[in-house]
Amino acid sequence: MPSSTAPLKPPTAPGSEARAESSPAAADQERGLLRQLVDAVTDPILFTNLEGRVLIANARARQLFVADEGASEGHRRAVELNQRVFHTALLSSATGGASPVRRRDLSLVDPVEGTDLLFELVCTPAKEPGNPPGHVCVLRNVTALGRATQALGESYRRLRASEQEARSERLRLDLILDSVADPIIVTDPSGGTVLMNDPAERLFYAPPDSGEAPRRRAHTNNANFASFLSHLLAPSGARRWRGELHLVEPATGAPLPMEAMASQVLSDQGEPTSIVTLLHDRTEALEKARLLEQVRSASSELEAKVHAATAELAEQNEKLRRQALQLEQASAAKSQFLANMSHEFRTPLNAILGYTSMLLQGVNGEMTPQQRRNLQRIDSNGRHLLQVINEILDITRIEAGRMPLNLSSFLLQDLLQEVMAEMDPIIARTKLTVTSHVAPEVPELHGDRQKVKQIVLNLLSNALKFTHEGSVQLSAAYDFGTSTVSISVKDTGIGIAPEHHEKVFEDFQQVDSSPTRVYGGTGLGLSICRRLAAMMGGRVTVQSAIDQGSTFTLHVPWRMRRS
Amino acid sequence: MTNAPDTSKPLVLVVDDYQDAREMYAEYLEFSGFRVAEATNGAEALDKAFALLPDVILMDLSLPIIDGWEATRRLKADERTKHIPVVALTGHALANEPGSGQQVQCDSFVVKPCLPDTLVAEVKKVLAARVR
Repeated sequence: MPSSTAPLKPPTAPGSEARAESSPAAADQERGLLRQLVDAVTDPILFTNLEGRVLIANARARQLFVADEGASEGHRRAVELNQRVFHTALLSSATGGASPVRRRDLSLVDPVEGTDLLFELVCTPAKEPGNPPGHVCVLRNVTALGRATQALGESYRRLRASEQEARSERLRLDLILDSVADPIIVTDPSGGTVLMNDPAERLFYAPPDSGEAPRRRAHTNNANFASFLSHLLAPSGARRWRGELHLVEPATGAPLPMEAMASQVLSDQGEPTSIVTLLHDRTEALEKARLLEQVRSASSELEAKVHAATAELAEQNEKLRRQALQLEQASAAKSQFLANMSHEFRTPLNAILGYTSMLLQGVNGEMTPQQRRNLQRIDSNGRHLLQVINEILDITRIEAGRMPLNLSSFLLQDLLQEVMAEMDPIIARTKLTVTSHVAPEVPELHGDRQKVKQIVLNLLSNALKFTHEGSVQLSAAYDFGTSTVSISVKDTGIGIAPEHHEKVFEDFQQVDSSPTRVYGGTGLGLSICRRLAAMMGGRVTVQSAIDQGSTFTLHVPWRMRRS
Repeated sequence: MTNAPDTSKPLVLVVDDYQDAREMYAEYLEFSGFRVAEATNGAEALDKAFALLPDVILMDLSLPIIDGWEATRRLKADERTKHIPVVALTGHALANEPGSGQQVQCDSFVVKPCLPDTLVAEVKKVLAARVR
């Protein structure tokens, strides 16, 4: 800015000349002061006549509206533009409205800087007597204000945009909240409801047209919820609270057991801003728990029943065990009794058979043939009785477990020869052909020799007894597959009908068990054979038919083991 | 026996409490050429064995006062009689089992009923074994 207070050249205020009339020296001084004052104002100030011609301008106004001689072309043009704009604005403002003071925006150009400047033009008519009428125009620089307004508009637009965004965000949030099946309620720190999703709304608001009962139920739900929230609303309340809420379906009144989980939402400063409560319908969970409980109780009932049954079973077992023990004791007592009895039988029988034998040997002299025949009958009946007693004793011993296995290795050839030799006196009295054959593959046997021999003796003696003509064949074979040795006694005797095959192995049984039966014997032989074979892990089988002869076979494992 | 004792014949001590059996065996032994002494219980058997020193003793095992097992054990424990063979006679088939616990050094076992000739055969066998 050039040095201030440079006087305007062309116009000279006639008013100031008139003032100066009273005291020319004082008037000059006052005018100088006034000019300094006006020049010191940073806003442009102008005084124009009614036609808009500028009569007085202060320093700032001169900068805008006056171009010096040496001013550049741009400067000059800017000044011209400013003058035109000012003039137009002044005229239009002078002709408008009734109010004497006119305000108007004015866009000027800074002739030096070339920047846009915004001014507010305030024109006040001047009608002072003694002075020519005109306008006092003050231009107030509002460039900064304009910029601020612009910025304000910009931020307002931005605000609108972000509000729009927030609204759509809120809408999206509402959609999300409503899509959650569980009721969600947001309350302010004092308990007032801020927001709730659709599921929550259905619980706490009954539509006005829904009737008295639903509204009452919704009200009850609200009351329940409020009392739940009170845990968090108290000044020293918890930040989180979990509890159960017993709500009802407003429409139907069906109970809705809810699990409620409420938590405080805190601001950055730690102040509670809201409370978010999530409700979860526990009906299904409770139903499941109830079913589970039912299953559990049924299961424990079952368990109790099983326990009872087990206990009963144990009791039964104990009873059975005691009975078994009693039976065993009874059986042992029976065996002992039979053993004693057989002893009591045999003591007198020993004397009977002994004296009979001595008499028959002529120890006390010769006898008549009739006496001899009668003594022989005593002798043979006595021997039969002895055999019965011995066989009963054998069975008793087997059943009492008092006939142990004596294992040894032996050759079947030797054993069969022994049997043949022992039976020779009997064989000699028959007309039968008796042979014995052991297959070469038969191995040395490991077992109870005495018992095998007893069985073979018995089978052979039976064969001789029931065969009148023909032959009796003893044979031994070996089955590699089962490692079993079989000893067969095959005769050409009377045979046994298939329906009697089992009977012959029973105690005291022959096919003909009548008192007048033709064949002697106790009927215990085969039953003893079968028991002895079983003791050795073997068995006795029969193949026979009437008049086709019989084959009795003893099967025993090649190597016996003590059980 | 009224005849004077013939010391060339072996002397058999028959011990049995059942008179019929004892006398039967005694009679048949004499008939078969043996000298015979008799005892009716274990105590008497021990007395007669020490007094007579028989060639063989027939010992029934179930006897009064001292049973046959115990009598045999004492005879076998005594220097004077331990060489005398003892033939045990038993009517109790069940008692005659291996492992019945009675470890008695009998030289032979005979199960009653036993015919007199079978018994004499056994006695002869035992004596023959002793001589060898």
